[in-house]
Amino acid sequence: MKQLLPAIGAVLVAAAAGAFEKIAYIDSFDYPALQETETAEGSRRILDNVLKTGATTILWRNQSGAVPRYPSAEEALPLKEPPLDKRRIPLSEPVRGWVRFDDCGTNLIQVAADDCARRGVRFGIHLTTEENHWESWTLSPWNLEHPQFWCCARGGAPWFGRCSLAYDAVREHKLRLFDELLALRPSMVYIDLCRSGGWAPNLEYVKPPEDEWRRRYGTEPPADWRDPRWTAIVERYTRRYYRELRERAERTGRKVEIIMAIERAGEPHDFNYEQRAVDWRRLLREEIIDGVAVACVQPDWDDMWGSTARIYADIVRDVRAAGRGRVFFPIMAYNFWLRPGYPEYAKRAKISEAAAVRRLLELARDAGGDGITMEVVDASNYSPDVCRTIREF
Amino acid sequence: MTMVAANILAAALTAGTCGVYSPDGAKIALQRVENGKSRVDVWERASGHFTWVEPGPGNAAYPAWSPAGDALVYTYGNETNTAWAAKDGTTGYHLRIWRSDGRRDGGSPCGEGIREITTGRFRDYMPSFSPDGKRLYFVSTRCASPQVGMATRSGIYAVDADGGGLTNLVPSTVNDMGAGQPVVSPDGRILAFAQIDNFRDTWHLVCARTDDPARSCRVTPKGQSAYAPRWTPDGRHLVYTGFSKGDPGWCVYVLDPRTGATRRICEGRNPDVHPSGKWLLYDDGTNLHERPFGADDLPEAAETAAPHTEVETEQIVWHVEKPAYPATVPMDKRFAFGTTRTFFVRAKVRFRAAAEPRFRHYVTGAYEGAPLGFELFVDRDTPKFGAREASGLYMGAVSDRRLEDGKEYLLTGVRTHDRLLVRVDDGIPSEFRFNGTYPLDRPIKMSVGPTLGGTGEILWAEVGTGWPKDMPRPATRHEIFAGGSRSCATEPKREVAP
Repeated sequence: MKQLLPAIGAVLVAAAAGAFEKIAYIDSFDYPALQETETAEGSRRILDNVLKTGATTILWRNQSGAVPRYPSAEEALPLKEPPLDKRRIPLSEPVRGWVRFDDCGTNLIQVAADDCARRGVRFGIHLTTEENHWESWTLSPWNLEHPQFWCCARGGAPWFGRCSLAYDAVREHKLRLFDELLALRPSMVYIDLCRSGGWAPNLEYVKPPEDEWRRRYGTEPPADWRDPRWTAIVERYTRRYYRELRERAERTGRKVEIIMAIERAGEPHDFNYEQRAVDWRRLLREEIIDGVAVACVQPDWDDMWGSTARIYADIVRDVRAAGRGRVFFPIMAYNFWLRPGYPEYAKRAKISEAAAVRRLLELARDAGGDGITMEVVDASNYSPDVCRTIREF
Repeated sequence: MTMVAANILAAALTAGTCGVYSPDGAKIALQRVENGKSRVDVWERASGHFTWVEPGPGNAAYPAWSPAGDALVYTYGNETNTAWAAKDGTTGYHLRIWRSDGRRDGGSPCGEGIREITTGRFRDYMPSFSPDGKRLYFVSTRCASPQVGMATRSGIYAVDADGGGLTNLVPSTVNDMGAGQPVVSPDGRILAFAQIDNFRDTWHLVCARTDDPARSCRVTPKGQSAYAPRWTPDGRHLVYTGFSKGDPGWCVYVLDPRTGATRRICEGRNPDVHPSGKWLLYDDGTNLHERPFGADDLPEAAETAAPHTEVETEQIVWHVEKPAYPATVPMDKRFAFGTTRTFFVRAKVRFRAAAEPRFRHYVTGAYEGAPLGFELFVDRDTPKFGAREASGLYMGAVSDRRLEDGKEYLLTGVRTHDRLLVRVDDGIPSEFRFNGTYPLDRPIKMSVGPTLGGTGEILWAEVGTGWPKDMPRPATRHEIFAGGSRSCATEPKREVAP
């Protein structure tokens, strides 16, 4: 049976192309207070819950912060669990602080991959850009061991525990981690630019880009990290990393679709370029990524449906201009100030959440989108009505 | 001032980390990893004999000797279940004392010579003895109450060596704020520990007087990451693990806490100085190393007390009673606070809870280049005081208090040269330390009123320079170290091994 699973996965990939794909991310860390999560059975129950949305592709989160959720050889340093590392503050909550997805005796992501194949849905990896959630108990053990590679603000203040991609050693480490993920045979890798730990050009005042600046301009690096010349230098390092991810994926001999989730579409400035030093249009043109998922938009609330449609159309136009690539639009239960989800649309339009979701699904389809992404389907954030609407669309 | 000494790589003594010399220097207590578990051993150097201190199946870590050398305190925890299985029954990490003579204290169930000192579903760790051996200082997650919800914070506590008299010495009031490795100077006057204030901060060392431990002063250089402090036997210096930009990795540093002068000794971590003062013990993450230690390793004397720790007294520059709002108030040069001048915003408000909007500004200051140069506001019923980083990005202090509908509160926001604070009434201020702030040089206007459609009432508001007179001042280096910190004359003489 195990040998059949990849074959089934390949069929699913082929089937997904052309269909309106419904992608759901799973962050299993949202479940431990509600049910068992550190066993294969618990993992399956999470999948049961998520499939109520009608998801056709499941993206499993690879790490908590930067601690892998599978037995990782690359991050296998002993005693990374708080309070056994002096550099971490433990999570104070009694229950969730004990979650150990990496050493619970089961490779939970492998379980998820196998179950997805069995149930006829695509399996992918939700790859957070860097450290996530910003809390010290989630920092990567490797990063804590290598302060010489930490990101720095101008003036030399280190960004504790977060390493810069500008260093070869860091990139190689990240690529080894990526190889571990590829061994799980995902058919999609979804790069999340939101969950980045604050990674940005303002923290890239480290030797390689600083030296490059000095070589090019003969001065010290700019005080203002928003200087476009500085962003352009930092962008070269991020692009090199993503190109190497692509090369690693190709080396597997399997089709691994790389989708990049972009932030805050519709804003006058490109947040992804200015704050993450990621030029997604260029990555598409250079065939480093296979498509984009719009993680969130900033509509004009006086004309929310019309402006959302225009933002979607602009993104589709940009993707098509690159000559290739699929596009996905958000159905998001989370509702933050800068990341409004469907509850915000529902509230402002004075309609039910299910009706707002229906409208957003139609906008995504009518704009020529290839599907939707459901941000973090946890135990109860997508109501039964919303799930039914998505499932039946 | 940071001086760099020659980097001497000493040969490995033995496998282990976090080694500490016994008071007579004849033994080393250390951590070792075996079968994926951390254990604590005592190594007798003359015989080479190892004693396995904690026979339990869990993790034992962070050994520290009693002043008499007859006991070790350490942390022990055995978490075997998944989160769900353990949700009602797990016990966390607790302090244990092991007596080297095997004496059983009070019929302990923990094993021969071992007594558990703390209990509860907390993580109590990184303990040390007070110089008189009567108290234990340690770090704990006890400061996050169940009401706080998911939290990442740790504070400093003390407990009698027999388990009584538990005291919270240094609270952790906000998420991502933590303390580590409390160690008391040999004369018992100064408490040194590591601290991290928020997710953008890095570990640094602070010192406080043991009779006023919540008022501390940063003693390591800005921009340096520092943790794991230990006093030198004479109480004049701290050795610690540090990293500054340009270092090859984690390094052992020596600090004169009175002046802030530091010297890098070598690559390594978790240092301890031999009771003779002549040897330095440290590890590389796997093995223990030892190297000579002496006057050449000490930082040069330097008067580097932070220039901005002495702040002026309160001067009100603007005050309004029952303002009609929203109101705009032009700001003149009195509001030019630059990057270093201490100023505060204070407002008495009657809070009104409302579902929308989440943000309610009470007082904001617009400057050229920074439309929100400062802002006192409430977000989801939580008071915050924000300003801008040098880059223009938002930064802010977040109170751990939630305001209740219809009640009156005095909200105070303070910005100094290195931190933002927000305080509700006379509570403990929450802090956010930063490495640089946007220069508030060219003031434009101030907005007063619960903006963004918010509800509530401002009874009065004011802006002032200097430190608010109704708030305890941050401790200065001078206050903490006045009178020195040296071995007290009454401290018993110890036998020191050669």
